[in-house]
Amino acid sequence: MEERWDFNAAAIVALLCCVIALFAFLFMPWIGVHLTDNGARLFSDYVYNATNSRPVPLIWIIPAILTAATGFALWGVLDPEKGRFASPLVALLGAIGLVYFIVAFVGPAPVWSNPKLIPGLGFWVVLGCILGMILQPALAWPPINNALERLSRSLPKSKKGISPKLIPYLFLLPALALYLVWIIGPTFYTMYLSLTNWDGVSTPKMVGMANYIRLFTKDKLFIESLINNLRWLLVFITIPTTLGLGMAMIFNQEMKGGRFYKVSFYAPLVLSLPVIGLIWSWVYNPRLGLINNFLFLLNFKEVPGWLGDRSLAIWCVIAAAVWRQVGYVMVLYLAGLKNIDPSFIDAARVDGADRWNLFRHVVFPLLAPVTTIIVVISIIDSLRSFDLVSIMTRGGQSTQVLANFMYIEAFNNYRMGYGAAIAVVLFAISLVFIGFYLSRVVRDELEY
Amino acid sequence: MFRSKILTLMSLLLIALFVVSACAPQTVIQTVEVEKKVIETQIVEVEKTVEVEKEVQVTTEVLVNTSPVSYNSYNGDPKPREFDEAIVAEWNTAHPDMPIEHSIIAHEDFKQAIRAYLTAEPAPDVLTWFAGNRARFFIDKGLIMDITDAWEANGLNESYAPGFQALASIDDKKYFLPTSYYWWAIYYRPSLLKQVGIEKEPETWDDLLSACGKLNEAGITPITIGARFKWPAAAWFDYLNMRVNGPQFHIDLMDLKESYTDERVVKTFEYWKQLIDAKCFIEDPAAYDWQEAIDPMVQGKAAMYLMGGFIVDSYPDEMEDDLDFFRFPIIDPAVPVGEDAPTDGYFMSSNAANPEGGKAFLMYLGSKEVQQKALADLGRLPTRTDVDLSQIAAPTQKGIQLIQSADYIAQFYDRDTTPPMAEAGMDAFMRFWDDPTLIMELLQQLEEERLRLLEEAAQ
Repeated sequence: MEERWDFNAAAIVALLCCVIALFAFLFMPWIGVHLTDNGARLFSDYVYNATNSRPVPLIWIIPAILTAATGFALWGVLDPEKGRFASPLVALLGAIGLVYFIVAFVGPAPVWSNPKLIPGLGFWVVLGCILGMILQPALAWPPINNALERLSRSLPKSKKGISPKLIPYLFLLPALALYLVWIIGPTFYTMYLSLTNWDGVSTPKMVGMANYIRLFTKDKLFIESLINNLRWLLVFITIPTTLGLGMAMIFNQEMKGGRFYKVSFYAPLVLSLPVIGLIWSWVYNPRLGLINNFLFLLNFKEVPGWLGDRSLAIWCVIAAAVWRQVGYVMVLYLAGLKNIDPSFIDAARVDGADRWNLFRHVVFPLLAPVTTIIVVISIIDSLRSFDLVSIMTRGGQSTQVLANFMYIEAFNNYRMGYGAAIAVVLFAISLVFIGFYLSRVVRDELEY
Repeated sequence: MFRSKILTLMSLLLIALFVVSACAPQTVIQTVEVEKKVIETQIVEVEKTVEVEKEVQVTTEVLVNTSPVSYNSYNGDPKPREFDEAIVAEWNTAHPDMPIEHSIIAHEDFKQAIRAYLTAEPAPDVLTWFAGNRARFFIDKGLIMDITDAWEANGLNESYAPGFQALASIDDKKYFLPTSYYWWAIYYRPSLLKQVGIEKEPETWDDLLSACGKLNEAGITPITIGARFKWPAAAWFDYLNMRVNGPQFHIDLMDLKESYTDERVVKTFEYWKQLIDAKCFIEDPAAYDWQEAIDPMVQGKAAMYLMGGFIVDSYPDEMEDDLDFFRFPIIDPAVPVGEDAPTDGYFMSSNAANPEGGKAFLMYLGSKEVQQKALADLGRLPTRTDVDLSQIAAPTQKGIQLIQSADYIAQFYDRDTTPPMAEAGMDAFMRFWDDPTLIMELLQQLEEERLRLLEEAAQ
């Protein structure tokens, strides 16, 4: 090698080939013309011996080499120095991939022999990309590489590139597009639905504000749900916050087994809410549950019915939610405490502050940003609560909450329009708190 | 520099591994073909004289020619699930060209998900569902396929009991295939009743009240119920209403033709209140799911449970000897006797992807063999008149007697009336249970809901 082979262009071409091949394998038809017969599905049918699997022997080679090749090609593009070997490696993988196509064309059961197994668009695109992968190191061959460089130099240079103001939006574009389609769009559609009386199967018919009028004037369950959400909100802003702060203050100090305690208090957040609901409903079982059996042990004869008692049920559900939330608040406060500049603490100590004054005048004010976040998250979580109510009582025993109420009205009672109206009300309530939080945060950012 | 050399070496080794494994393509292909030959033994035997290469081609062709039938079922409980899987396996061996894509979804979730299934494109071919208003809701919206032709072609019009044929038809067209029903009755533990001196099954209202009194004195809870999800309470309403006011009024009420504030409805709740005042029921019924309420019975702390025949699926097998049932006591001998006998079955969606295969599978599900197997395995009563009943156990015969001697068969509260009415009704029953004095207020609210539903239906 007299001149150094420059693999930059080759690596880019290799990456392009690999990515296109991956998309073709996943989304284009491998056999025939139906999109459902794509390579990925045929591969998984073959692996799991599904009932209608088409025979595609050796197809596992394709995803295997494509993933490996994409990795190597990416390495080659990102690290031109050490990644020079990527391009030949990709060529080697391409050669292995070619084995599949060779077997497909000249093997024991060639693709031409069976009229039902005619290769589709995906097959050909991947074949083309594999050939591209095999041939791309040629771009690094000095004569060709020099020709490419001369070509790029002769191209007219544009005076302006992309305007710098546009670049952040271009980066945001993919994520924003998905957000628009899947979240913003349905939100507006729900608002439209709330003005109809759609039942989920026939065509919607506009009824104007009738749903809202009914909600606020005639629906007792709505008022009950609203009150329950409010109770949930008040409990969530006070109890987990104070308990979490207390635990964070305690565990902020070095202690034996400190990490074990922190992990165990955080553990409930890892459990899924339906599991928590199920286990807590066992704990609350009046005859066989943990709490009442403990009370029986202490010789109590009259024990509460917990979920069976209409006046207690909602508080039982909220208690299970608080149990889960405390760990989350504790972790947030621990992070906040670690961020406090120790010089403040030292200065306060020098000034003679005792522990309570230290907390009240130095630590707590410095935790204000964390507290704001926690309060807003608590409010949003309390308005969103659905899983626990749905699993523990399904809205019975006066534990109905807005989200569950909306679900039952929409999906059980086939009143989609009415359910949409409830959803819009929930959205409006949340918007008040989120708007307040965002205005505070944006204002603070501008101050800096 | 050194690191990159190691990296290159490792990647080359990996590739070498790939190449080596890829170098065994012949054996891989062969094993694939062998597997397929095993599945298709019946076809291959017919083609005995064909040469090796051709055999390979034949097997691949047969495999490609399948038209799957999708079947969604709610049989999630252990015994019904086993039964479901067994009949699907039998069909799959008999009809390899129409394999079943079988999905079993949890019972409660299926009830919510069915709307999505029926409006999907393509919808599942065959689905399990309940007769009565629940099916009618979808039939009225045109989401269920008319299967009158399949009924005729397979002779079902001759072999199905007339009552069930009526249940399956709307305007003389058949949409539903009722395949099994089960009875509701008060299940009890004979040993516990004997223990407190009750020798005979309670037959009248006074018998029931006196039985409750005797059980309470002995410290046993007379009646257990697990009303967390509210529907077991609706059973009490159904039976009390049918016993006090007669099945005709009950069905008219379910069809929203009668008012909930009618004095007859109030009378029903008065009888209910008698039971609550006599402390007949377990405490905190809403704290238990219906299966959890079986625990006190098994532990000997409760004696009776108004529940459907499927209670035996969840009742411990070793204790089933001490489980019997009796008809809900007669309150007024002059009133016709109505029983709840919810009928399960299958229907096909109008947007089905494979209507022909679906109809074939549906008719198989309604066949004598499958109903015979359901009778043997699950004790579910057949809707066909040609099923052999001689082998069935005494309890099942008793149940059949119970239903056949009734004057009227109702489906169950949440299957006879529309879903929003059922939801509001069951909520009202639970609130009444907590505080019986609220009854007039609750009935007023139910009446408002009924009027609202009539208004919505008229739109």
